[in-house]
Amino acid sequence: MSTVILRTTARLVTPGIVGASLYLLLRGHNAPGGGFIGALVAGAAIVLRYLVGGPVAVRRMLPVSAESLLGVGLLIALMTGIGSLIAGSEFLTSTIWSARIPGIGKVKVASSLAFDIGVYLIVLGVIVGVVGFLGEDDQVMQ
Amino acid sequence: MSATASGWVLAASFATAAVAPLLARWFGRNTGYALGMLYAAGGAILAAQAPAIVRGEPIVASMEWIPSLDVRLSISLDGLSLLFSLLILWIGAIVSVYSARYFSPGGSVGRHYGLMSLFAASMLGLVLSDNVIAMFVFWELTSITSFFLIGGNGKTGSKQAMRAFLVTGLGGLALLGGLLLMSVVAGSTSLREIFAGGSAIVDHAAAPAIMALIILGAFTKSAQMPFHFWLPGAMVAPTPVSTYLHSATMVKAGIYLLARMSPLFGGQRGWMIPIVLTGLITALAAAAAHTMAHALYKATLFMIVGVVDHQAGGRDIRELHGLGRMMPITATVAALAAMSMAGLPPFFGFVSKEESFGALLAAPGAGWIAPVAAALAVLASMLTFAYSARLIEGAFGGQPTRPLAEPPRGLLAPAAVTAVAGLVLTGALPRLISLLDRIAQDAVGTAGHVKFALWHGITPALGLSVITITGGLALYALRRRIDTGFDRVRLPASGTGSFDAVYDTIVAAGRAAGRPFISRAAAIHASWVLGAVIVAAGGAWLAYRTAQPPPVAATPGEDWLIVALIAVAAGAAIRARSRIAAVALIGATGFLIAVLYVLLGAPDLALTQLLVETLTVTLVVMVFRRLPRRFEPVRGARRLRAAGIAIVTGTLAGAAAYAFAGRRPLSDVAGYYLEAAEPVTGGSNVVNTILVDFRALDTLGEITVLAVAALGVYALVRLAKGGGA
Repeated sequence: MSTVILRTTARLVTPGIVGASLYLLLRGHNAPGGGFIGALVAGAAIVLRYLVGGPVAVRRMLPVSAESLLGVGLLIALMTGIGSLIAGSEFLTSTIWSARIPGIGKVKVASSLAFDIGVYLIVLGVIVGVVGFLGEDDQVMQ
Repeated sequence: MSATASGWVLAASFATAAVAPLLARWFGRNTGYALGMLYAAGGAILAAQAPAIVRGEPIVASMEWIPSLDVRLSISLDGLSLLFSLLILWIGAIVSVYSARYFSPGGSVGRHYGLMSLFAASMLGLVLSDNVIAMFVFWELTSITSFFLIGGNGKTGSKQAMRAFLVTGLGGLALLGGLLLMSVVAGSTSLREIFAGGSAIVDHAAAPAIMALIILGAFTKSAQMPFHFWLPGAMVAPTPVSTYLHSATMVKAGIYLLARMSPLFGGQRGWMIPIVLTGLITALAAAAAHTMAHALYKATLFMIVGVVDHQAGGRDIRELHGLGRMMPITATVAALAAMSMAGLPPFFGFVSKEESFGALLAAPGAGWIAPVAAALAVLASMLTFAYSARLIEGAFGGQPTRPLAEPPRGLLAPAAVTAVAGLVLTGALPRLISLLDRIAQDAVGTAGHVKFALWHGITPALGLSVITITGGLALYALRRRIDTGFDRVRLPASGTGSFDAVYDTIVAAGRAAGRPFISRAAAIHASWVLGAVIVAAGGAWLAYRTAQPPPVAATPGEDWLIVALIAVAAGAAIRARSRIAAVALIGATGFLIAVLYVLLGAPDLALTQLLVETLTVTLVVMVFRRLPRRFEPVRGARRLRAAGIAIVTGTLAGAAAYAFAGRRPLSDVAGYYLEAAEPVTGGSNVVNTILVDFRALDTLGEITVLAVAALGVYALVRLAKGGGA
């Protein structure tokens, strides 16, 4: 499957897919998207990389193990909850900050974004893990 | 020192647990010295509160935790808590110092120090908590950390640790039940408020159940008969762990719990029987003093066993002889502790034991309690005397068989400190009395008026002490005959044996229950899942078939077009002979469903469906590369069965989708979400705000399950591939 056409296309579209994934993650609070959907899009990029260059290519694109993605994601989600405890509200209560950034305008960020990033990392970790098993033993697909 | 000092000590002990593994990376085994200093200082800070506590001003600090469940981290330091806190911190300091020389240099000790300090912090939380829920959480933390501490020693260790954990874990569940019942009855989760309510709980119909559950929790934790059997097995742990768990902490947690609850239940007959059996009779001042004495001599002896093991390469008393000649200092330290344990004057063990005798003889309540309790105590003390003598004679007496040397000073010094403390405390009695009196008051509610002293004059208690020592000496003198006598006794059941039998039965039952689901064929797994769908959906239909159906809105024409396309794709998938074609066609139905979602106005759902479908098809295609191109032909009966399941499931799912999709008015909850999303969460995408704000706790649960399941699958796949670790 690793034809020149596929290789070239993959190289061209991967940055776009990753960008779209992050965009979906960030805007999720106000428009279709969010951590789960964003991670699935990033997963598509991972699968594409895998089709082109096997597990080696995946590792070159994302040099982190599935386990650490899962662990860090869970930790971030948990810390978001504990953060709101420390701030004096109940577990996982969201806080909203808004600031006016010159040139961009008013930007609103909720602490639930951090929670969503945790979700994103965990879903990504599952996909990276699954893709990893598919071809631990066979090298680049010809 | 403000009221929050104890809170800070607790927080600092958890912080210590967090940094201990890092310290261990830099300092290796010497981390024990750093921890020892921290614990000694923490103990000193708490000890400085003693004057205020003696005056009867318990120190209370509180912080909200889960206000909606009335769970708060409230800390209360009264006399009883202070006693146990000091044991935890100061024995902890000594054990840490001992650990610093017990482990070989350069070994990996991060795990040990991390777990030990986490265990110490949990114990501290347990004895300082005023809130029953927080107390239970700390209680469970001690069970979990002790499981890892005991199981750290290889394969046999893990089995013993599992036994200890299951017993104390079951006790923990019982305790949770008891504490919850008690707080429901009392209408509060604060121990202070519950105690203030007093008789309302004791007179309630649930009181016997509450008492039984709490006693069960305490007995399993303290390894009291009949739950004693996990304790000897737990000794596979390294000596510092055994020392700490079994002299000052884990086992004492049960005693603490009983003492803590005594002001409430004291005087109830159901409560008194176990209290008498454990020697924790109402005069808690005596019990408190004995707890101190016990912690000191037990810690010393545990550490001495570690020293002997270290020097002689074994701890089997039948193979140790004449260590006294080769290691006189070690033998002296051991003898000091053993004499305190045996209750010989002028050791603290004697004072506390004699005070206990006096208290037992004066025990209130029914007439039988006092003599029975005193007799039991005398019998137990005789046995203690006999085994103290046997320990010293067996290990240190006789002729040496091979040359052995005294241990390094750093290993012996901590044991010497606790042994000498058993003597010094007797001298410090006048200073301790006011504190012990306060403990009695905290635990019983009335002043104990204890008069600890070495010499009370000729009293009944002194008589019991004389009987104890005479009886102990007789037992010791007759030990050979008693031994052979016991060897002939065959008990019909042993605790370990019964436990293992129950354990094996449960595991076997689990295996039997799981057998129908174990199969390599995907069809078997699928039929169970789909069967469950049929039962659930069919059940719902049976239950609600008479309900008034909501007004049915007309289905727009384009919906029917999509449905028709889905039917075509699904039909083609059934007919497909090639695997790849089948997957592609099933993927096509998925994409069409995504279109349906768009038409229904659910862009988030459509996007998710589209992405999941894409990834699934790609991944399944990758897997199918390893399988034959075509499906193997399926024979008649199996084909019919599969068709039956598929048709029923499909019909029910289709009917449900038709009935629910857009054919009912907006529910109240949906209306609330639509209205509140923007002002409450700052987000306008309601789907996302439900996921990360309104129902974030559900999401947290789901991602935890997902992450843990994924980690489990990774581990299994690695194992199956033979990749090892």
